[in-house]
Amino acid sequence: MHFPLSPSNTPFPVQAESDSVGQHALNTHVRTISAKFSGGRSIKTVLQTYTKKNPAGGARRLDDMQEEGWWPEGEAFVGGTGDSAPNFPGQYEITVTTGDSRFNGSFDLITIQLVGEDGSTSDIMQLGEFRMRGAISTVWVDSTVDVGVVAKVKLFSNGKDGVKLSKIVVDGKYEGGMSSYLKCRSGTGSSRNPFTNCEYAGGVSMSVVGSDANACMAECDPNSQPDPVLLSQIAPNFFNAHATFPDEEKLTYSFGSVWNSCVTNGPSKFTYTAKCDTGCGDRHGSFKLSPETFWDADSDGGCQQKNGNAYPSYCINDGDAAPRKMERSSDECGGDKIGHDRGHQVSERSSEERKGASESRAGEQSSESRAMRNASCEAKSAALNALSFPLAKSAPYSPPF
Amino acid sequence: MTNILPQSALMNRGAWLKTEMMVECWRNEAPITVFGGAIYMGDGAHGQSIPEEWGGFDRSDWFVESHNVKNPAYFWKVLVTSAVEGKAGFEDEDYIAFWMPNHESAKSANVNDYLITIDNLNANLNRFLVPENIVLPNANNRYSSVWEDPAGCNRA
Repeated sequence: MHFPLSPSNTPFPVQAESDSVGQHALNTHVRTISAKFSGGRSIKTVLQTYTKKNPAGGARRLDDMQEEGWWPEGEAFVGGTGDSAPNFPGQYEITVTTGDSRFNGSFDLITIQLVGEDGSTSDIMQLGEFRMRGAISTVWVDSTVDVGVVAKVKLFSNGKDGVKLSKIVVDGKYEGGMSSYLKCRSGTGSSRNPFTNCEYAGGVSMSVVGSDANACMAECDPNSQPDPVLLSQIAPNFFNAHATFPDEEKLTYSFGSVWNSCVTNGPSKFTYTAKCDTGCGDRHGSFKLSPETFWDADSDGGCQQKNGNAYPSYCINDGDAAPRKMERSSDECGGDKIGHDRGHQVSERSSEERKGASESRAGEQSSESRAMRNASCEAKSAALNALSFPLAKSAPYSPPF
Repeated sequence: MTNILPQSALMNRGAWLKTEMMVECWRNEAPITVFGGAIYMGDGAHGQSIPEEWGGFDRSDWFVESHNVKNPAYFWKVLVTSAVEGKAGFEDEDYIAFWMPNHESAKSANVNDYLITIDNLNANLNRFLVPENIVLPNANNRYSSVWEDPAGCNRA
């Protein structure tokens, strides 16, 4: 049995088991360590000394430290539960990299719950605070449940200070990362009205690393499914030229097709097929122009919009005035300010413009961000990565036409 | 930027998102063929009036100056699930169709308002000279509400 320390960036002493975060009942087995050695040195003193001498050393397992002679041989630390310590079949080493951008660090307490491939869930365990941007911290936590293969982690915060953990590695085997901030928006933070129910939406999907890299973690077997319905049988005209936009360009990929109009400079129709989620597709978080090689030579740069910037907002319902473009976000609008997203036709689930809205998709992470299972999978993902627009959601299956 | 169009933010994160999440959930139950498109006013209107939701103001050119792209008036989408032999509830192909204004009113709570029969979808598309003739059974019927997520599916 290990006696795990608190997170390396959380000052000692570690939290007691009885801590809680918001409405989430914590079952945190980072136990209070209060033993004293003969001679009066407390564990706290030892650990502070260790930390001072090893500022970048991060947390350590106590038994490892004991082997290194940090306290007298024969002295044993006893956690709060002593000999009646509960059984923790789930013991995890979690290494967290805090994002290196503004507002990525947080003074709030972050907790984690692991979700297994079979849907089993661990206890909610305390990770600690992650104040320093770009810092790498290792935490050891115990759970009364061993979830087996870790497919996802859920993250919780107890305050309004946003946090982004760009990389989370569990036991060196499973890795994932937050694609957006976790930030509590409800409550005031007071003791009477705490920030509660603050969970990173959708959790963080985890992929296998190390020797099992490039493994897909299929939610079911796509090969056991029948073929998708042939579009040519139900919409035979779909592939014909659009009467309004006869100059449409059809762009065909492994997952489906998009037709772009050179009149509107945007997609006019699309199709794709979806089978069991293979976890093969990578996600794309940026908007890029397609290269000119995508287009016919006479299309003058391509049938696409001219840049990937966010669309301007408009002010509507402002008295009798016609809708007007908001040149700056600070422009006054006496009516309603409305926005438009860069909306995907073949859907994608991680675009940044969806963050923070009332019907937010922030934090959503497709299980397709999992790594690939085999070479075929890898090749398909590579094909997706080669696309010049952000797309990931559709299964990388060849359309049935 | 071949897969991107201006979509009302509340729609993209609302009713349209709901259609996407349906695919995410139901794809594990049965293969899904998805097809759809965007309907434009302006050059593509051919005398048709702008969406009622736009309140008398044509929004088609809102992003032409900044992005050189037309703002669609409507979006449509059809989801067709395959039959799965031996699987209860999937004995036959099934489908659900949507016709949705590109407007901030298209929130997730209103998604059922945008369900449409195949007959009416064909009629709408033909009005805008989209030469579709979608052939599906029971073309004059439609679901009264979107499919509920299958048990255990949580894509929220």
